[in-house]
Amino acid sequence: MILTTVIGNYPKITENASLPSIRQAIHQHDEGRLIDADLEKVFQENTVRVIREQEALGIDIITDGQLLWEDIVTPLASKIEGFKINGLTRFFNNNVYYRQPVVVGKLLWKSPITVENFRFAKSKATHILKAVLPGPFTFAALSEDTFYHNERTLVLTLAEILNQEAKALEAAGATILQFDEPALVFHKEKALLAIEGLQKAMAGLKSKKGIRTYFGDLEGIFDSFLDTDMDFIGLDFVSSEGNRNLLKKKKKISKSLGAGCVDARNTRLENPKILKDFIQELVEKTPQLYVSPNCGLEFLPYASIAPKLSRLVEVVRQCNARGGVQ
Amino acid sequence: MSALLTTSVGSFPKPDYLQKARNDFYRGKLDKGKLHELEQQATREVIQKQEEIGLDILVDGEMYRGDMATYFAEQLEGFKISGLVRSYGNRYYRKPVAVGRIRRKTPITVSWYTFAQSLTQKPIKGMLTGPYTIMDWSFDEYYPSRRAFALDLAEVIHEEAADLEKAGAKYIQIDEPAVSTRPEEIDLAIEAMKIVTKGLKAKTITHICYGDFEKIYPQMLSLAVDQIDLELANRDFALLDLFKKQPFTKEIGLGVLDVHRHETDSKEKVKKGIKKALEIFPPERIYVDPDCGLKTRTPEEAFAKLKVMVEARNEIRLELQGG
Repeated sequence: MILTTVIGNYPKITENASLPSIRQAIHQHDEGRLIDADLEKVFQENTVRVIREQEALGIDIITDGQLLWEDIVTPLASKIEGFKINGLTRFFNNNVYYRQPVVVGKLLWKSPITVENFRFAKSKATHILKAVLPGPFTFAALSEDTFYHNERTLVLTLAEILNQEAKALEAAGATILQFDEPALVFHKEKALLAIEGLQKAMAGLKSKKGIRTYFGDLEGIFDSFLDTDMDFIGLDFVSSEGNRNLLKKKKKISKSLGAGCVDARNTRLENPKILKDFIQELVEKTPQLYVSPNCGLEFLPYASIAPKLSRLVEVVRQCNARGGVQ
Repeated sequence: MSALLTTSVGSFPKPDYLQKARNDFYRGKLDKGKLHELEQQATREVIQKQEEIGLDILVDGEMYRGDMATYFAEQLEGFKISGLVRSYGNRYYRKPVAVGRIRRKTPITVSWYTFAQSLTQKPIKGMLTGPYTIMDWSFDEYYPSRRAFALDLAEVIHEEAADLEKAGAKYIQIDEPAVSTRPEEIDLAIEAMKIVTKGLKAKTITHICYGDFEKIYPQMLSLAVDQIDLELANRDFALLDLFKKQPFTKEIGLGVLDVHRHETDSKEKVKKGIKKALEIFPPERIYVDPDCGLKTRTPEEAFAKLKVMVEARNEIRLELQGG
């Protein structure tokens, strides 16, 4: 059976006043008008909302929406010893910015960073909640290194840290661990280093583990990922033609496939017929297909989320009904 | 002496009273006429300030604009404006959404150009956002491709540029900050710019930033403009070394102020940058300006930075004349 999922983040604000807004709460907290505990409460209420929304829309494997995450690396970098957080830098090829972590000393993981929030979200979820972390290669690519002066050392050091975090998430009940590696599509020449880092980050994990890539394709390097221990590989079929081309040439792949088929960087709604045909083309090629948006949902305004995810779920249900339960 | 002319990239910080008025306007507590009066007042002030500082080519300061893409989209047919999306931290903005064929109903910036030019003898630069950038920073629910979208925008921005020229603009800047973010689309940006500037007699400039310029150089020299304006100060003028290897065949807008820092740049650093550029360009092909728009600084920070820039330029001119 084809399963539906999302990549990770979800719009933090709704523009309707049913719940206290995260935007307002952060603003009040910054001005000293809201205490930490109350800010935390607003995040938790909204996390519950995001979980309910994904479940109601029919997403099989959900996330906590990463509402506390400004971006994919800062939440971790700010808790890892040896990082300081620098000024704004563009997030890949988007008109979106993140604060760049700078490695200024030996990196040290002191205690679990994302686990407490994962536990909270898991206690509220009735669908499967997956845990999402940046991949070591992308973490390194988004950082500035003024300490190790060696990319491989940095990637492997981050891999070690992410492995500890992943194990802590597993201990807290995570059964799916996803590592996001968007930087790979911009640096294909470094695929082997990325894989070395991922193998280390995934070492000893008993959960289903794998990667999601987005903003581009893995054409030319995809096969290297088939020889690894990971269970699933996620591809973006929207941002470029490369992944479609590479899959066309394959009859069957040995791993589960995450397929980003709905454009999470544009508000235009997908044509259901085209979407359905494409999903049916993919389903034959992999032991397990996960269909999702191509990247995190935070590039979209809140009003676009329900139409986009409903379209995705509706088409996948049609495909499942047609194929029967596999 | 028309060498090493000084200018700015376009936006200036809005004074507190205007910021407040804009908020009040969006909350329905202030009418459009009153807001417009305050925008004019702020424009007068920013023109006067630029004259005091001694800049050569002035801008209207964009007191009436919010975001540089959304401002144009709001006044074009075929666009609607999206709900809020986050750009970083706790900052949100509304993006344009193309929902139909993009057309220009009336001139967009011309009345502001004319108003600003009426306040000064110095030339006012017409300021536009380029088609590639508006396309890249918008959602698109209408066009079959990014190219079709960008090329329609190019026609519209061309009409606006032609009207600015008719109104008397001698300098027209078409900003394309997004060009450096997708090197694989540089040809599309070039194709679109050709449409924007076709037949113009005014001096045309484009500003590019955020970039991995290495990935679009030297292709970016094919952009159909007379001058390319680049951020150089925030990377300590390292980019100039690239131009030593591969000649920069246009005039250069030389960004010498790091606009992302609060502190006033040192005069020595600015002079160092200009001198480094003089090793490659004759002085009449260098236009000295900040790295980027100044709207994220406070008015005090912005004016202090520009003052240092003009002083540095003046000292170098003296050195050049003194031989």
